[in-house]
Amino acid sequence: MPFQVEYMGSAYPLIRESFDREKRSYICSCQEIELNSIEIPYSLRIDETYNTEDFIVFPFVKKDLNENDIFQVFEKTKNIRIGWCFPIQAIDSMEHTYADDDHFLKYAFVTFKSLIENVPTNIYLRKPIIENDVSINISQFFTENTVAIVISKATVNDIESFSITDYLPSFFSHGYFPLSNRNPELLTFDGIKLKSKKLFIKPISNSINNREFIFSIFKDVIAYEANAILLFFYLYQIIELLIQVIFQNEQSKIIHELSICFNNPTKTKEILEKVDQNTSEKRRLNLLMTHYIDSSPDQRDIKSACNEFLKEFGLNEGQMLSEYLYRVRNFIFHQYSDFQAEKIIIFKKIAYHLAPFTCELLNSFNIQNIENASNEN
Amino acid sequence: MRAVSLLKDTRINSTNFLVELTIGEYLNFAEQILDRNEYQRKRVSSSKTIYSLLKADIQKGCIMPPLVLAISSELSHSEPNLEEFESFLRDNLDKLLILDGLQRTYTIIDLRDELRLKRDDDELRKLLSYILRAEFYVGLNKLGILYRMLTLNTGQTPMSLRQQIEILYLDYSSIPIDGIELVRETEGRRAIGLSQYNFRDIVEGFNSYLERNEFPIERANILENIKSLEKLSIENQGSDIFKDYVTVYHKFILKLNEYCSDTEISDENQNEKISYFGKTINQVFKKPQAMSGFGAAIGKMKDFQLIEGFDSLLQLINQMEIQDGIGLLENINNSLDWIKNNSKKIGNAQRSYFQYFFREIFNRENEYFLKLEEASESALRKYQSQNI
Repeated sequence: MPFQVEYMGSAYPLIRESFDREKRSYICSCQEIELNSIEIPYSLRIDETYNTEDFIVFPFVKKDLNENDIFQVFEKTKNIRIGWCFPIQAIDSMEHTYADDDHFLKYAFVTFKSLIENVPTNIYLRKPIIENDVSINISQFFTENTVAIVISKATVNDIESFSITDYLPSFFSHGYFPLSNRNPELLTFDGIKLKSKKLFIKPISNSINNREFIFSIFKDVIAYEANAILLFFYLYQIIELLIQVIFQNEQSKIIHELSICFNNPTKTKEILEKVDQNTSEKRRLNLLMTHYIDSSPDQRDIKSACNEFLKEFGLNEGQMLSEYLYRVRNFIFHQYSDFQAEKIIIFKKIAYHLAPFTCELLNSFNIQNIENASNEN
Repeated sequence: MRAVSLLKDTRINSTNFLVELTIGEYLNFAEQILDRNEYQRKRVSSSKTIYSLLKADIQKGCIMPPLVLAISSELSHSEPNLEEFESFLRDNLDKLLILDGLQRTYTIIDLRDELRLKRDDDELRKLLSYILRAEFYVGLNKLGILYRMLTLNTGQTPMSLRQQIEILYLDYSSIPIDGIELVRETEGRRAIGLSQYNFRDIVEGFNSYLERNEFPIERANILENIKSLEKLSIENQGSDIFKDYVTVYHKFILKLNEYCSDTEISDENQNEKISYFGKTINQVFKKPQAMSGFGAAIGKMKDFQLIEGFDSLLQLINQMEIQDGIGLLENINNSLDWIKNNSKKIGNAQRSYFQYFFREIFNRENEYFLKLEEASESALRKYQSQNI
């Protein structure tokens, strides 16, 4: 579906012609309304080093996007720069930090052309109203919080079966969501603000199977959910998924042990006692943090937020995830009637920190090998 | 030629004649006026397909929508009649402009020339006797012409916003203002000297004054701009206010240069963590963001009766002093750096900053009245309080 414009109350498609270097504009036309020359101007310095075929442009959205939110995207496991992430309106402005940056300008021009020549389908686009003008900025076709994530095919050739969807949790944690046909201005979730000019992304763990469900929770629900209680509920569903996998894995280990020890009644009885223990959510949360992640995510912020909440309601604070997060979970699920609405600000902090923490878990999750079954538990 | 109807357009205060005439009669005067309308776009080369279809259709006897022209002369009396139109047209050919139908006119000329070349006398005769309809607006002034052009959509190849703005303010670029040169983009150079200003930047600032709004002119506002200018021209104030605006801003620049002409943030005292909006006083204040902020601030203060007008500003500028030029530049750059990193649209936010800055220094009731160094920090706080 090409870009569309609105004229006298009706929408009309723009037909792209070509980029006119002299006019510094992409020339389009709209025969239905007899406009033979509509220009989409390019404001920055033109750098035609790259070809559009060598790049992929992914439209994303982010709440409260600033024009200067321009980042280089690095793939963390290989530690290589694979692209850039910037607001589409940065293409129309000379005022941001990178307006003169040679590297950025190469990507900016490729993005400009790519967005016009390969308009993505099923995404939310604006239809600028035209009256007597022939010039429409490219940013007018998108909302102000639309971002382009531009990946170089050459740089990701070294990454086996690269797919941007594998990296969605990394983007989610910073508040970036794929642009869908839902109005991006309804976004409520803003994510952790990036402190440097580099956006590091890691792939989701290969041990995660229910990816579509998890991504859908993030981009269709969490992105637009303003209620902190519901946010917590949805995020906890993802943790429930992980500890369910742990349950199945631990059960498999038990069954494996039983099959070995079936002639030994004493040993069998010991192993059967573990079945009950295995159902304990608290135990599985412990296992999650001790045995089922490659690298432990930073818990300071989520711990501090949970303990602040627990203290506010006269409950014991905790040191481990299975204490502080589980206690918050129990309070919400079983004692919600005691919740005071004015305390919601404290609860919002939990939801705010739980999202990136959950994303880290998704990236670091690793199912233990059954042979490495630990008798420590 | 036959005038068949006349109507009064009370919106633009003009009389509209509907005329039937042959292509031959039309070409007798139309060719002379092709280059006259400085507002019109030149011939559009990319439209060959559409207009070659039109050529073929004309030969088949299609009916073209009426052409629209304007005669800027006034009628000699207030009760016009149809019979006098032809002689009036003949006497005022030098005041005639094509508002809508320029490309069609080129097409008709092309077709005539092709038939002449082919020596196809029959077809040529047929073409020249083909009946056209044309509307003539009589008594239309420049702003009225522009208004009609912007509101006519059918068949016309419209103008870019930049062209529309240039046309709106075209007359102002030739107004002599002592010691100041306004450099137009079409001259192929930029304003470099202290007394030179880019015409386009001045226009943005003046427009901000008129609209009491520091943001760039939006497409939706262009017709409102015309209404504002019409009001000014009725009061015969337009060119005077424009001169005043430019003169006062230039006095402000000169005053800054009395204290800071050599002041520059050098590489030694440069803060590597920020990117600089301008390292000298002129690099900062000769940018359109500052001029727009100035225009909007003065307009708003005038509305709130905090200042009387441009004359009173001259006195205030004379009283200005700057103790610490480097400090002033650093404050402004630090503020604009914060704005750069925390704004949805940096250009608009920069304009707002300058608007607050000028309101701080020129408002007598303000704590930082005429204190530029302090105002440069306070303006950021004001911006933050309104926008965060």
